Amino acid sequence: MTLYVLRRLGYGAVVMLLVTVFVFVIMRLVPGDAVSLQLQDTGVSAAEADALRADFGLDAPVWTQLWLWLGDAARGDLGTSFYSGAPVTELFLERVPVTVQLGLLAMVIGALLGVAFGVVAALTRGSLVDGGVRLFAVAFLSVPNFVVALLLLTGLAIWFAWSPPIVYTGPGEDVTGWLQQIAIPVLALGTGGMAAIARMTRSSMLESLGSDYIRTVRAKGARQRTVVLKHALRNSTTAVLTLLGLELATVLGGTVILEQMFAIPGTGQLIYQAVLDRDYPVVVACTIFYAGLFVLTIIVLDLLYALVDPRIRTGKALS
Amino acid sequence: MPSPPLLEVDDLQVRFPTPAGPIDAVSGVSFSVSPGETVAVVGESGSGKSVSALAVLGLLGAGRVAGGSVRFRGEELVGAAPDRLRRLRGADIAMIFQNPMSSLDPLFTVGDQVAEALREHRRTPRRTAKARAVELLREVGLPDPERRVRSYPHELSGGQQQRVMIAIGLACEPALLICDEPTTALDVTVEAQILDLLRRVQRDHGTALLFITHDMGVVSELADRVLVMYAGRVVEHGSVAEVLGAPGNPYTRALIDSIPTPATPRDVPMPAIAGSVPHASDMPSGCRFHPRCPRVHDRCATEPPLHDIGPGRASRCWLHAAGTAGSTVAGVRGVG
Ligand SMILES: Nc1ncnc2c1ncn2[C@@H]1O[C@H](COP(=O)(O)OP(=O)(O)OP(=O)(O)O)[C@@H](O)[C@H]1O
Ligand SMILES: [Mg+2]
Repeated sequence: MTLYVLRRLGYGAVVMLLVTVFVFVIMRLVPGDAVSLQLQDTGVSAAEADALRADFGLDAPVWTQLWLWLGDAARGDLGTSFYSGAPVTELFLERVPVTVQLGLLAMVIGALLGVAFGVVAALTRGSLVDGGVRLFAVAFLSVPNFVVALLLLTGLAIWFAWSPPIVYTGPGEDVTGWLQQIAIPVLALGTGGMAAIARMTRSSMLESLGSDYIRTVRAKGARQRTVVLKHALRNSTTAVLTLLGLELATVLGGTVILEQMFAIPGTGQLIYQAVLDRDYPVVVACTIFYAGLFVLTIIVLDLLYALVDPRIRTGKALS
Repeated sequence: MPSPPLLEVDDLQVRFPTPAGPIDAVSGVSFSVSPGETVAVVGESGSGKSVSALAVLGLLGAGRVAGGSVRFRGEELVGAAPDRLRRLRGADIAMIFQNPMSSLDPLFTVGDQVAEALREHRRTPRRTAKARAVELLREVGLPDPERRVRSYPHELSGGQQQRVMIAIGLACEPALLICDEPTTALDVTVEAQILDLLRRVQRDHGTALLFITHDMGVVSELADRVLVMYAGRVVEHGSVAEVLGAPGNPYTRALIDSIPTPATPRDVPMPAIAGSVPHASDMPSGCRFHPRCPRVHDRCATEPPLHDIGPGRASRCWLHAAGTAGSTVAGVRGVG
């Protein structure tokens, strides 16, 4: 088990390194660099700009830059922002909790609601409730999350004359203000996952409920609660776990747009701004964060998978 | 009959909805099981054996009982409250199935699944239930039960899984155990062990068995009485000795002829009955067996009733009607 985790962490590290190198190089191939964008229309001479480039280390060949950066990164130094001059690590750690809170809430709410709706739909198969759940699931699956956010925002503003506060306050300072601010983004981020999970839960619950082992449980005279919540639901969780991994990618991608829309100072906003500004060190750091979060989540999901299903636990998969 | 029947099924009709309209998988099936008795139900695949058994337990899923009655110890079960049926299942009537691998929940230990059968019916502390599970597993002959309670189904062989199923069935000491082809998925030596086990269980606990199979050999080894089903109907019933010794119905005859004997040459195909069981949506008119029957004649265009052909014995064939010579069909061979 430990060996398995270590090996997965090793793979994860390799994936992250490759992603980092890729982004590092791609960013430098995109036309325009931080210096020319900053100094646009300021009348600064080309010579001065070149001096600034040399300062940032941008004059060296890409591979040299990469090599130097990797050396620093290995020592824990991710560089400084071309803009604020602040160390990237510092800039970054400020914002990580905001995005993690947002993403985690969206995933948890989406998963819980999705599973609940899926179970209800499966149990009322063919009824109006089932039809409603399926209809909404398809609708939410096909509408991008920022559109959901816009619709919520507009709807609440028109019908209830309510809109979220503009200035972000952390949950530590003002919980109600924070909740008001993140409510719409969380819902918008969560609905896609909720819809996918509801559909998956419904179909795997139906499959499970029609299975031989559920017939055995019923033949034992088990109560409906035992049949549904203990046996059928537990057998559906593996399918849902697989979806959660995919969901994370959507949610993380969604934070980039939604944090921008709702002025939430998380890593999504940071990476968005950094890409526009060609603030290479910040972009690379954010990339590492997103890749790392993803790798970690996949490992956690794999472990949960093994926790739920003894066939995986005793099989070769974890040795 | 010395004792009143434990289970009485009368004129049972089971209907399933299908995209092409409702079909009757079973119609007009009647039989009874007395305490401690073994009744075998035989018939080819699709003749309605499982459906009849599942109807007794109220486990038909999409299907429903469209007519007739099922009485257990005199109590009517058709239309009984779901909770009443639930309390009966497992506690008074238990059932084991054909495929033990898929019939056990892969995510729970076998000990859990045996203990659950107890805990769903009686307030039993977890520890007590666990201890009882070990005992039950020992009783059904699972080796090293103290360790095996913690095994998962996939860690056991097919025969061991079926033993676990039997342990689940026996947990609450039911008066009736329904076995739906419990050995079909197992190889021959394991089959013999499981049959031995069932015989021992019956002797020790006085459990009545309703034993579904399509193997006439198993019938003669295990059962007191036999019910032969074809295309959703009972075509013959009676004591095993009589039915197997002198089958009244051409279908029973054909089934018996398809039993391989040690003398059966290995390289010659089994004398199976030509053709296949008609589906409920496509039932032949008249006698349901007539398209495949070697003794088919004019009267088979109308469906024969069950003729009483002896004490506790009946057969659904015009050959028994007055004016037709011979009440058994001993001379008929199945066509292969
Ligand atoms: N859920 C269902 N929906 C529709 N038809 C069904 C359903 N279950 C059974 N049937 C029909 O009922 C008929 C009898 O099926 P049943 O399972 O009782 O056969 P069986 O005698 O047990 O055969 P086998 O030896 O293969 O187990 C079949 O023709 C089948 O098509
Ligand atoms: Mg069957």
